Amino acid sequence: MAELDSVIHQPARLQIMAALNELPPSKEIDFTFLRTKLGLTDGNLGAHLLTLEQAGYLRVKKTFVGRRPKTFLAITADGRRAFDTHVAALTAIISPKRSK
Amino acid sequence: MSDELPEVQAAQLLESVRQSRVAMRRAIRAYRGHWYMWVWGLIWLIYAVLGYYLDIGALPYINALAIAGLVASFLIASIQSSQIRAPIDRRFVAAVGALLLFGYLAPGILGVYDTTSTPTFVRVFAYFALLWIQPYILAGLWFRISTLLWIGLLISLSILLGLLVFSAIFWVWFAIFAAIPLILSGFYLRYFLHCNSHPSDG
Repeated sequence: MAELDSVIHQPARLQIMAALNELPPSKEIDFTFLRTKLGLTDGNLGAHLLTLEQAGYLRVKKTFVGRRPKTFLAITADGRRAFDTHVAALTAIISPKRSK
Repeated sequence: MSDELPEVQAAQLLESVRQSRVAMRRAIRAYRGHWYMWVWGLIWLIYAVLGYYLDIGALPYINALAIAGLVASFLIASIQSSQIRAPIDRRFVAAVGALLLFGYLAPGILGVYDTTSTPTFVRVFAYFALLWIQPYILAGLWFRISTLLWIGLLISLSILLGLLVFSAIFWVWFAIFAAIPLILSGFYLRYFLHCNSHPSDG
């Protein structure tokens, strides 16, 4: 049976992973854009991203667009696997028969 | 850990996952190539109207509109890549560059670049319209996006048909069977195409 992932389990991090998991493999998303889509604050999103990055679930790339600093985010292959496993575990809780 | 989580809470978390997915899918849909198709489809439509009414006299306007279209495309690319971006595939850019460079050099080398009479003007126009639709085919093949490949192939075929079979009504043909389909392809890409699939999609 799939196990819940303690890093992803926190609701905001789960939301972040769900959103990033929708990106096609080669794409990256801007920090500000993601923050707006998820309705999180700068500090809140930043803290959760750090946790997810440390777990190896996402890649953070800091760059400049013109003179403006920009942060782009992308989910890693490990992140996708962990997210899928976590969602499978959640699904198993609400429908144990289906997951067997 | 799974044993400790109540069913209700698991359901709420799955609902939040679903909402995040929906929000992101909507966002991603807004970042497809439809804006380019709308801009260039509209420009092609104006080309057709200008060609129909002004004949060879349309050339300076066509050139000016082509420059405006390139500027608009550059702006669209800049805005979109500041929010959702993919690393630039330099090989693809080089391939498109080589194709366009060759496409612009070839008529000069062959000495067939002539816009001084109506039939050759139409021919040169159709040639460049065909040339600029080829990157769609190339992108379709390169990135395995069959929709782009088919859009490129069908519009190419339509331009060729207009030139070779319906040359007497070329401008009308071009408007109806090349410009408008390009605009409609943009709508298809934006609102109807479901291509965001990866292993996690259920």
